[in-house]
Amino acid sequence: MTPDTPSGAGDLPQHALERLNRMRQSEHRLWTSDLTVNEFLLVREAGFEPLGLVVGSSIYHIGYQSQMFRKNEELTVLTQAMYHARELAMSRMEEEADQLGADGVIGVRLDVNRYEWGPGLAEFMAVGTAVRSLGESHRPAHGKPFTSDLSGQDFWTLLKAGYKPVGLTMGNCVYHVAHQTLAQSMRAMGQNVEMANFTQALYDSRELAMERMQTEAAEMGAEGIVAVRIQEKSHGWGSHVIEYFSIGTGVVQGRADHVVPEPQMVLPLTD
Amino acid sequence: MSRHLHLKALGQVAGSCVMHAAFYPGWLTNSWGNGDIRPFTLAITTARQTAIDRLMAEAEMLGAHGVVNCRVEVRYPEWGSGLSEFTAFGTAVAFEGQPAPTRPFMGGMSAEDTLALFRAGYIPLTLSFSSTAYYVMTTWQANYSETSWTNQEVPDFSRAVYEARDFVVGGLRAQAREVAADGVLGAQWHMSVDEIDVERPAMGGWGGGYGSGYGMGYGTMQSFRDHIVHLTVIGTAVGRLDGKHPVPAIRPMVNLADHPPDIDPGSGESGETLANTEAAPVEP
Repeated sequence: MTPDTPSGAGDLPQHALERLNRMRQSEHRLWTSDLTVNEFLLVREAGFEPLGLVVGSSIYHIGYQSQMFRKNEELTVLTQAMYHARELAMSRMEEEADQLGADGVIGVRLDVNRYEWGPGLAEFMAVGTAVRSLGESHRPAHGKPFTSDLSGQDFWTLLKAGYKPVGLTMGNCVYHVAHQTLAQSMRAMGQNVEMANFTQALYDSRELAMERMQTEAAEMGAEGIVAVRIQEKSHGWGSHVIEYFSIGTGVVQGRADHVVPEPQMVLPLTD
Repeated sequence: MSRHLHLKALGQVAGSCVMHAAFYPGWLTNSWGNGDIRPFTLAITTARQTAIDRLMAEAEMLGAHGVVNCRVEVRYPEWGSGLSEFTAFGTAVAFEGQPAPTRPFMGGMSAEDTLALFRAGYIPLTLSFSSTAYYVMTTWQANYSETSWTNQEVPDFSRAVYEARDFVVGGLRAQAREVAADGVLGAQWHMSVDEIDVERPAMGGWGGGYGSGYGMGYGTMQSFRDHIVHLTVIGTAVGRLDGKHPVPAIRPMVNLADHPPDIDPGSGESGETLANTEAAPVEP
């Protein structure tokens, strides 16, 4: 989205590079992960091993944009800030995984935290577990490790269904929802009416966010997106500014002759 | 499942340690810069470890084979400033009819998960953790970025958080290595940021416009709002058991209940497909 999106290992601090190199070279490879026991066993069963926790973060100063009081509009400065900062965090996490020689990252969480850094500052953090295939390479066509916010369970299920994750796709839109005019509020008083301009604002921003996510998936070469989540949040901007954020995992089909195992039916007797 | 492997709960065990860990910015007067505040980090690390060790001592007295569901809670008691209370909780368990080992195992996972791990050939060893209180000096550039109207990253802060995280991940790995672990499972991050107002000599001579500096150039004092990043990562170190342990076979299942109890409806595309890890192991 912006030209200064980092690429290559040059963006990682020296400390991080040294640590990752040590992790890759040492005789006895110690892995770290935030997987639960069940996730860990499933990942092993799917033919992968965890390599290490990978993290990327960016502390970002979000700029300022004036808003028209009575206008529904996207706040492009804020949209770009939120996207760019997430992208920075994600690409740093991907870079860490790449340095470890991972095939991909699973269980990625993208968090936005407003710690006490100061006004207008937020920390964007991406964290996940880098995994490596014990068999054939699972790196997608673009050569970088795949990223995915699927849990160990979902990852296992996806692989068994014959699909492979390509990467996380996301889209966002920060939107200013217009205030009502006095005449509008007078008309609505004591009436059941739809507030068309509010509905319109939600539609606009949600559609923009989803469309951007889909464009990203198409650019990545994904055939579809699974586990999409759409969040509406106001990151401390006041009541009339909202962000729609949609995120999911882009997937492609693996081999055409893949057979999906027949699931067994279970009727649990618990309530 | 606990009964199947004759795992018996012995009782709840706990261990506490209240520590006074304080930080005075005056300590740094002559060495401004980013870095781990050693005395502070040492204090909270020791306190957490002491709480875990005391829990372990209780478990050993019970003749336990291990502790499951182990976790450390941190509270800040109101009866004194600068106090942190670390309390470790867990459930001591024993395998029926077997002698107690010299040192019990310990893990943050439930009894079921612990048994699943055992069957897959792993053993939880101990809670591994690492903390830091990392001092982040606000540079003039960072100060400038904070007051800007345009979008930009604050690279000085990003780098500082990276350094802090590298510090704790390095510590976690060192700790896990000490117990000869194969890896660390279920690692969790906890992070918070404190603000701290300090005065220090203005560097570079440009400082006048921000904060409440008395003047320009070297030697004059200027106010800065620095930060302390408190970061802790904690997980369970697991080791491999001897011998061959096939990963249990997993069968996809469709749960026919109306409201599958274990599925978060928003988290997956295939809400009806459950993977069951408790299926029988493959015959070797």
